[in-house]
Parts: sequence; C-alpha cells; structure tokens
Amino acid sequence: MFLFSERNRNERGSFSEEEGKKQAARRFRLIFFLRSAVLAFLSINLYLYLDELVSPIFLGFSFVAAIAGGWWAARSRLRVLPALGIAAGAAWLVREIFFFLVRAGIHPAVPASSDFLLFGFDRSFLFLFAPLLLLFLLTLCTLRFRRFLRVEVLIHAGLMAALFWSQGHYQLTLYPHPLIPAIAVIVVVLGELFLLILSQERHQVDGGGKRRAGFLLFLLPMAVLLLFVMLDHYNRRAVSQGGGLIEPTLFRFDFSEYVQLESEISMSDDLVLLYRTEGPANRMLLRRYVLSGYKKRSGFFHDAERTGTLNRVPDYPVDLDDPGYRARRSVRQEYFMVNFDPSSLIAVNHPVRVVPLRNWDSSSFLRVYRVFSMFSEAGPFELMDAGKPEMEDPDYKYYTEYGGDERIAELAEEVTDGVEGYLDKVLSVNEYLQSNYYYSLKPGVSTDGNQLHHFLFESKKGYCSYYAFSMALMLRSLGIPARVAVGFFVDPDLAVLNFYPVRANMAHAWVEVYFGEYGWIDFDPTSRNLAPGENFEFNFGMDMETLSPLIEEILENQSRLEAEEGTPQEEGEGEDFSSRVVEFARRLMNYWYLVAALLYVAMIAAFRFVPLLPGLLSRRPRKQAVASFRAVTMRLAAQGISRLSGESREEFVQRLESRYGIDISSLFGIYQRARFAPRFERKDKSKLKRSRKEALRSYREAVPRYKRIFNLISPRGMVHGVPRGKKGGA
Amino acid sequence: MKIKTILLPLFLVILFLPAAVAAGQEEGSLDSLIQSAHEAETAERYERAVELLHEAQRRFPEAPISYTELGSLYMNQELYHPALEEYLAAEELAPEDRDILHQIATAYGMLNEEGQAISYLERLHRLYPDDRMVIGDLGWMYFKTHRLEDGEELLLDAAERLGPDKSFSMTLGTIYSDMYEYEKSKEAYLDSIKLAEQEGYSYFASVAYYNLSLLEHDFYHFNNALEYTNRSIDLSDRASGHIARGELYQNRQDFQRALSEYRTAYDLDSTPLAQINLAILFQQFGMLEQALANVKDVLESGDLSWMYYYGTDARRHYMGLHEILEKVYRGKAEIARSRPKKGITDFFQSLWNRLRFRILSGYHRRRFQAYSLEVGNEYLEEGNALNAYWAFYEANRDYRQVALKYLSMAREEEVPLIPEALPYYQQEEGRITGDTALLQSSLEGFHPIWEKEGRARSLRLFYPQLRGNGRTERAREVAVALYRLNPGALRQYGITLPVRFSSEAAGEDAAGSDMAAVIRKLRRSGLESSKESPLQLDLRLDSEGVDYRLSDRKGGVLSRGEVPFEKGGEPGAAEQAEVILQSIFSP
Repeated sequence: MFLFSERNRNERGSFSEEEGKKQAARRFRLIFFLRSAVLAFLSINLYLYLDELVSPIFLGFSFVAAIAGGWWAARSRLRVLPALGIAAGAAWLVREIFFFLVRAGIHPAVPASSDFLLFGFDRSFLFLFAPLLLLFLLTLCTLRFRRFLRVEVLIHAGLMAALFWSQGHYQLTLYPHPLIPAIAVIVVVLGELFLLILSQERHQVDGGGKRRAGFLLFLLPMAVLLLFVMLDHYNRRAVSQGGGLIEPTLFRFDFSEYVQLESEISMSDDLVLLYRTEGPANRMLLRRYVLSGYKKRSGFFHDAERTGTLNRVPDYPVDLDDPGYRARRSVRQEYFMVNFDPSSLIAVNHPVRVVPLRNWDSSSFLRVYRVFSMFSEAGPFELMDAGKPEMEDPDYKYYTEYGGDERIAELAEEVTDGVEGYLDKVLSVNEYLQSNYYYSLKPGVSTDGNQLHHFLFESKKGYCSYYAFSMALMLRSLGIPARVAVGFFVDPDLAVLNFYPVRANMAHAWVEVYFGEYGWIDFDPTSRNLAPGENFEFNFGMDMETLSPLIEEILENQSRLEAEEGTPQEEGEGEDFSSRVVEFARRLMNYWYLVAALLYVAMIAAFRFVPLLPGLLSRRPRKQAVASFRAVTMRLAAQGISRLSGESREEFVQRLESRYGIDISSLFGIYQRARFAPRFERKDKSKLKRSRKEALRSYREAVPRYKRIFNLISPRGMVHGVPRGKKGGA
Repeated sequence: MKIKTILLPLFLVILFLPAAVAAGQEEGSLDSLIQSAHEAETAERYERAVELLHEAQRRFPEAPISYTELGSLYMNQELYHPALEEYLAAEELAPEDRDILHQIATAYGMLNEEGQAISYLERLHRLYPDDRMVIGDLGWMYFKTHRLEDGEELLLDAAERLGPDKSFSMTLGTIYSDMYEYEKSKEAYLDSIKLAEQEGYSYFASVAYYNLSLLEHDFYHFNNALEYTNRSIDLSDRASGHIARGELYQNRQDFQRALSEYRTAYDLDSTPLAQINLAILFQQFGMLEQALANVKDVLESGDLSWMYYYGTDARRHYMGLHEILEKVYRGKAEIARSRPKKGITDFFQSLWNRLRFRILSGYHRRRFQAYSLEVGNEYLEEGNALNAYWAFYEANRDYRQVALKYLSMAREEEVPLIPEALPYYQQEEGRITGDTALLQSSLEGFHPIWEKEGRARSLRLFYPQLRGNGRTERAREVAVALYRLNPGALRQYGITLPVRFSSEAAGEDAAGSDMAAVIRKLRRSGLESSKESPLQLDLRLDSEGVDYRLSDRKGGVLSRGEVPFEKGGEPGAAEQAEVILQSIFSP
C-alpha cells in the first residue's frame, strides 16, 4: 500500500530494501499528516465561512470519517469512481438511518428540541457533503497515486484562494485580527512547499531533483502571482476595516469604462476614496480627467498638454495657474485615497494649489493630499451676461471639433431651434438629454459600431458617458466650446463630519462649457429616469461600519497631516511600476483564454521539459547523455509507457523493444556508460547523437504523430506513479 | 498707618489678581472651548469641533462635559461606537449622572446590544424610579427582547404611581399585541392616542394609529386597519404609514397602488423597511432583478441602528431578507429553465444559471431556516407559544412530520383566538400533504377582496397538484385565475399560461417561418396552446417586427406591444419571444 517503497539500490550504494521501506513509511506518515493538517485548516476556514449553518462537531466527525474512508478505500484497492459512489452512498445511508431514528421519536404534540435534529443534521450535511467527498477523493488519490500529491498541492492552493477570496468580501469578520490569517497562510504555504519536497523520493532514479526544480520553477511564480492577487483583493476589502497588511498595488479602480462608450458596464460599490471639505454639504463634481480632444475615429481623448491640467499629485506643494475667473470662491478639499491610483490628482474644477500631505504610519490610505480650488458660483444671471465668449483659434477650433457628424449637428439644431442666448442653447441641450433619454448600464450594441448614434437615435438609453459625449458634440456642432470631464460625483446626503465616501459607482462623466470670464462651467446632462426594466437606485447608502473606523483614524491622526516637502518632478515620472503592472495585467486578462492556455503549456513544460534542460544544455558529455536518455523516457512516459515497479532499466529497454517495437538499446548503452563507466570518451559522445536519433526515430515509427503530440501536452504520465505490473513483459 | 492700610490690600490685590484672572480664565476656557466646539459643529466644521473637545479633555480631564459633548456630536452623526466610548469615559467621572447613563443606554440600543441597554436602564430606574422617560425606554426594551410580562408589570405599576402617560400606553399596547390580547392592546393604543391628541402631539398620535392599524391587520380586521392607517398618514406623513397601507394593497394584489405607497415610503424612509417591502412586492410579482437589487442594497448597508425604534431585531431582519433571497433565486432558476434559448451556447448558459441559482436558493433557504429556529427558541423562552410554533414550522418546512406537528400546534393556539386565520393553516397543510381539498377550502375561506394574496398563493400551490393528478383542464383554469390575480406569479413558479394562439405573417415565406419560430419559443417557455382558454394571444409579424396582443373573451386587452425585428433565425425568435413573455407576465 505504501507507494514510496524503495527498490534495492544496487546501483548507488548499500541501501537495504528493509531500511528503505522503513524510511519511506516514515516519510509517508509525515506527508500524510502534513496534507491532512492543511486540509483541516481549509475545513476550519470553510466552517468559519458557514459558521451559522455548520456544526463544528459534525464537521470534525465528518472530516475524520472522510480521511478514514479514503484510507480504507486505498487499502481495499478500490478504483476511484466506485469508491466515490460508495462514499456518497454511505453518507446518505447514515443520513437516512439518522432520520429514521429521529422520526420514530417525535412526539406529535409536545415541543422538543430533538424535533430539530433533522434540520440540524441537514444543515451541516448538505453544505459539507460535496467538500467532504472531495476530501475523501483527495485522500484516496494521494494514497493510490504517488505523484498525485503534487496535483493535490495545486488543489489546496485553489481551495485556499477560493475561501480567502470570499473572506475578503466579509471584510475580515471571520478573524479577530488580520495577522492571524496572514500567519496561518504563511504556515500553510511553507507546509505545502515542504510537502512537495518530501513527495519526491530521495533517490528517485528519474531525475527527481530536476523535476522538483522544474515544478518549483512553475509553482513559485504561480504562487507569487496568486498571492499578489489574493492579498490585493483581501487587503483592498480589509482596508475598510482600518487594517491592511500590504498596500494594494493591483487592480485599482480606473476610468477606462467611462472614457469610451461600452455596450454594458457594471459598477461595484468599492470605496475609492474619502473626500473632505468644509461647510454645508453640496453635490460636488470631483474631476479626474478632462477629455478635451476629439477625433471621429477615437472619440474624446485626454490631452494634458493642451488643457494644461495637472493629472498627478506632485511631491511638493504646487501652485497652478489661476486664470482669475469671475464669481468663484475658494474651496479646500482633502482626499484620502483608499482604492485608487495614489498618484492620480482629483480636484474640484478649477484647482489652483495642490499640497501633498505626509501620510502617517500604518495608514489605511494610500495617499493624502489637499487641494484648493476656485469653485464657480456663477448663477444663471451671470452666465447669461457672459454671452458668447471669445476664444481664439486654434483653441476655438480645437474645442468645437465634432468630426463633422451631420446627424448630431441636425439634432442640435433641432433642439435649439428658436433658442437665442448662449446659455439658453446650452441649457436646451442639457434639458433635452435629461428629459428624453433613460439611464441604463446596458445601452446595448449598435449594429453599425456607432454607439453614440445608437444611444441618440435608437435605444435612447445609456450611462453618463453617453450623455456627456452627446452634449459635448451637440454643443460643439453649434460652435459652443465644450469638453467632457470624468471623475466622481459626491452625494451630499452621505456626509459624515464633512467626510464624503466616494465609491466606484459614483464615477461620473459630465460636460464643461466655456463661458469666457467665468471659465469652464459644469453641466450634468445625465438623466435620472431609469430605463424600463432596470433597477438602479441612486441612493448609494451609507455604510457606517466601513466608514466609521476610517473617519476615526483620520481624526486621530489629524495633527500629523503636514505638507510634504519634495523636489520638482517631470510629468509622468510619478507613474510607478505597480501602475504599469496593473495596466498590463488588466489588458492581459482580456485574453484570459490565451493566458489560461499559456499557463497550461507552462505547467506541462515545467513538469516535462524544464528538468531536462540543464542536462541537455550542459557541456559535460555525461550529463548530456543522461539527460538525453531521460528525455526519451519522458516521452515514453507521456505515452503511458513507464518502467514497472521492480523492473530494472535493462528489462525496461528490452520490454520496449519486444512489446512496443521501440529500440532505444543503443542510447541506453551510452546512458549506462555515462553513469557508471570510469571514462566517457569522445567516441561515446559522438555515438550519443547518433543513438539519440535512432531512439527517437524508433519511437516515432512506433507511435503515431497525433498520439505523440496529444500525449505530450496532456497531463498523462505526470501524476501516475510507477504502475504495478509484471516484470519484463506485458 | 492709613496708607499702609490702603496699600497692603492693594498690594495683595495686585499680587493675586493675575492668579484670580487666570483662574477665572481657566474656568472660562472650558466653557469657551465647549462654546467654540458648538459653533464649529453648527457650521459643520466637525473636525474643528472634535479638535476643540479633545483639547478640552486634555486640559480638563476631570470634567465629564467634554466627553458628553463629544459623545453627542458623534451620536448626531450616527457614529455610535465612538459615541459610546466617550459616554463610558464620562461615566467613570460621573457614575450616577442620569443623562450620561441614559445616553449610554441609548447608544447600546442603537448598536442593538439590548442586554446592555436594559442593564443601564434598570440601573437608571433604580436611581430615578419616577423618571418617565426611563420607564418608557425600559418598557420598550422589554418589549423588544420579548420580556412581555416584565414590561407589562413595569408599565402598569408606573401608570398607577405616576398617572396616565401616552408613552406608557403605547408601549403597553405593543406588549399586549405581542401577547395577542386584542382588546387590551386596542384599549391601550386608544388611550395613548387620546392623551397625545389632548397634549397636541400629532406625530405621536400618528405613530399610535399606525401601531393600532398593525394590530387590526394581525387580527384580520382589514377595514379597520386601513382606516387607522389613513388616520396615521393624515396626522403625519410618515413612511411607516405608507408601508402599512402598501401592505394592505398588496394583500389585495393591487400592484400599482402598493408600489406607489412603498415608493412614497421609500422617499420618506430613513430605514430599509420600505426597500424590503419593495423587494417583497417585486418578488411576488415576478420582477426578480428589482427584488434582488433591493435586498442586496439592504444587506450591504450594514447599519442596524434604525431597529432601536422598531419591534424587530437583527435575527428577524436577516430571516426576512434570506427568505426573500431564497424565493428570488428559486424563481430565477425556474425562469432560466423555461426562458427561450437562442442557441446551444445559451442552452449551456441557462444550465449553469439554473445550477447556480438553485445552489444560492438552497443556501438562503438554510440561512432563513437557521434564523427561524433561533427566533423560535427566543419566543419559546418568552412564553410566546404561537410565534414560537410558527417559527419552528418555518424552520422545518422540509421535514413533513415536524412541520405538520408545529403547524398543528400553532393552529391550536391561533385559530381559537382568530378564526379568520384558518385558511392559512389549511393552505400550509395542503401544501405539505398535497391535499387538494384543503387547498380548495383555503381558497374558499380567504376574503375575496382583502386576502387575494392568500388566494393567489393557494392557486399557485394548487396548480402542480392538479397537473400531477392529470387534471389538466382544471389546472389551466387555475393558471388563468392566478394570472388574473398576479401575472408575475406564473413564470417564476413554472406555471404555464394557456392561451389561444392566433398569428399572421405579412409578406414573404420567411416571415411565416419566423413567426412559427416565435410561436414555438413561446410554447416552450411559459405559454401553452389551449382552445378552451379564455385568453387569446394575437401575433402579427411584418418586416418591422412582431405585434402582439393578449386579450380575454370580452375583448379586454391585458397586454400588447411591438417587438422590433433585429435578428433572424432562432436567436431572433428567442429574443422576441422573451420580450413578449416579459410583457405578458409583468404586472
């Protein structure tokens, strides 16, 4: 039963079989204990996740029963599927017997807590049935197939990821302190690595050390990437509890869906930042980008140079150009970044001074900075007075470029027919969009690729970007300079002590229209009429459980908020490596199927080919010879042709020829000389190449091409142990 | 000598004046700090206010006022945890201060830590036995924790000692209603209303009328319930009043009116109750996505402090939410099964969705049952047998023997008190046993106007029994009757609507085959062809799209519309069929 029994190692030393067996048995017990401990840890996490539904006693007993059942099935040499069927059947039988006994004892008219045993049993049973069957299956496979343990390690990783991913959503409520799961995860990861190392036979004859290296070469980067993603997700959720282990650097909120027109968007309610301002609560628009440029093909785009806007938080206080617009008042804002690119500058239109602030130790925030803006208070009377402002070329041409879209121009003319004043035209277009269109996160797909036309003339529903782009283009077609702004809106109803939570679903796009001496004035044409059949409440709710600790943290560290002192920096220098990695990772995930395929190929390569590379590429002839032989046996293993337990290599080579017609005897001879001969001469080296070719030719003749290719990329031969069979033949 | 007599005191004054002034400034500083903090709070400069109060605490650590002021600031902003910390700090400095202890009790109440709240209120009551506010709050907390007899004793004793009080009467009314003492409860509420009106507290009277309407509703006096609800709203336009009225309309299966009331309540409401009722209404009428969005929104809000003012607790709140989610996901699974498929990919997608929704439905069902069990145990400890049995029944609905046992026990408790409740028991028993005679009895026992919701449920439960027994025609009649009550109740429960199809394809042969495809999709997805059906579905296909019209024998149009022609073939037919079905089965 123990699959790790050692053969008599006459080739290397005087290791007796008896001792080998004892060692293997000890190692096996250690391995089994370790993997059971890991599974116990995962089960405990599952219990924490379902603690209101699952009984810990039930879980404990079932866990032991599943392990014991797997052990028994392996001892009984049951095949996997029948064993699984028996396990499932046995579990249900236990249930039925239990139900029968309980039902027999139910009193018809007296309430009794025993009445609820049926529900109590099912409560645990139904949720644990599948996981415990899985546990049974893993135990059985690990005991039956030696190399399955490596696969099991991957399964453990996947289960851990799934459990911890869902714990992130519950914001660490399952543990009293974030360090506990962190330490537990580290211990488990180390345990898994130890398992992998132990799972290799010490004297595994087929290059065990190299295989281990190959596997680790694949596993470690995967583990690191998985850990990165997990920790980021986990920490991102955890940071709202005032905690967080590592600052999240991946997968932050970005505006990509808002700077182009999508057929459908989804919105999460992740907390992006906390915004603080003084004075009575007002609905504010916090601007991230200005999309000032327009090209027919690419739509609106961001052109920082043209607009002269600062997009990154500087490292030191910076005064920005103040054009001296009329009817503005100063507004002081503070931004506490939670889940947003910390170098991004967000500010109320029009920022005149940016002051980066020093963040305190163990802060829950990625970045803190202060902005002073000159906020327009110009009302209708003032703007009416402004009349049509003067703007010179090339700016005027730039801000009134609309791509010559005739349909949009006609619509704009129609909407403003009979309307005279500059402001009145703007308001007409604004009101037209608000009143005649619906808000929807699913605008749909246009048949001709023109999403904006589809919105304006067909579906008449869309999200904020559609409205903003439409209004901006309609105004431009009328010769009114306009541009699109992207950022967030702030709901005054959510204010707590002047703090406003800004969530991902508050991302917004609106229009800025030029009013000369009054500057660029905000207009928001987005309709609040929901598309029929869709439900999206504009009340975003106040989650005090999340916000309260963050607000408390800020208040406690209020006195430490000081301006940073730094040196001038080139624009774009601040973009950190992590942002670029994030962007790259995001783009990569658009082609997830390709990524998955590549990962699979990488895994196969790590198992099969990487261990051989050092030998094949080595300059030392002996190593080359050994690696060449192993390369051939690896290919044979992929075809399901491996050396049997108790079979020597010589016997294996003979069997290959007699049974399969594959002649690798010449290569085997070179291999033996490389390993055991006192000298490995030049003629041996030259023979090696020839022998390898002969062996491969023989292999190709015996195995059809499609099988060669298919089995090489299948996991076959990676997990099966040395099959038991008769020595020396079929 | 004279000079010395004058100079010496003058010297002493000069010597000690600065100290005196400083001392005076020190006392004034605390006051000025508090005053400044108030001003900052009024100007919504909260961080400044907090700074000032922290400074006051630092400089005057023995003065509880800076802690209580900061606590109040946090309370006003609904930051109950930090508020509680401040008040507890103040308590250490003034352990028997009435206001501090009361605020602590309130903060605990807002955090739904009723045990702690009661402990402080009991302490307050011992220290200040004649404090009416304390008595009222304690009585309310007894009610919330189902210590009904303790609450009754406290309030009756207080009323006897201190004289009539509108708050005492109101709380007594709620306690008696939980005890199912209709007459006593009604009397207490009416007393409360009378006192409130005498004192000019119309808002209070509005709340009392609302509670009274709930009592009448619980005892199936629906006309009285509507009357009192109307009075409540007339006195004060509160969200609760609209919710109560909405529930009455929902009982009558009047979707539009119920929706209107809940939406009005939603605009007024600072609690999630209106949203929960909206979710229930949406679910009942087949608008499952809307129901789901509302429930998820409520679940994610997390703030339960509103419960302090309502006779519910976290368990019952989550119990209700999981019940809605269970039904929503079950409905979604059923719709995924029956939805017209566009092709093979869509077919596998729908299989996956069915599995996913079934698992989610099962998960939420178990959560609901787990909460029901806990709630039942609580009720049992408090001696509230009826509610306990009902909760146990809900928890064990899947276990026939146990379910019947507790249903029967609940029936023995309730029906002698409230005979009008009998049809509900018949309905549940019919559901468990599959006894169609019981379902028929329940159908006949419900009030034809006020209990249409119950009738709709009986019809819905009737349908699969009839189908299973091969009584197809009768099942079709039931489906039509159910459709007339609630169109949204069919699809989510897998009930097909029998209709007479009439179709016309204008133009080419291709249109004819498109029409056939649409009809085929409709027949597989919620409609069945029946020549005896009183409903007729007219379909007309042209180059623009499909016009459809569902009408009854009298020519009354139940649903109509146009579906534009976007795609051809199976995908197009599936999309058009889905649009038609959504329209037909929406309220």
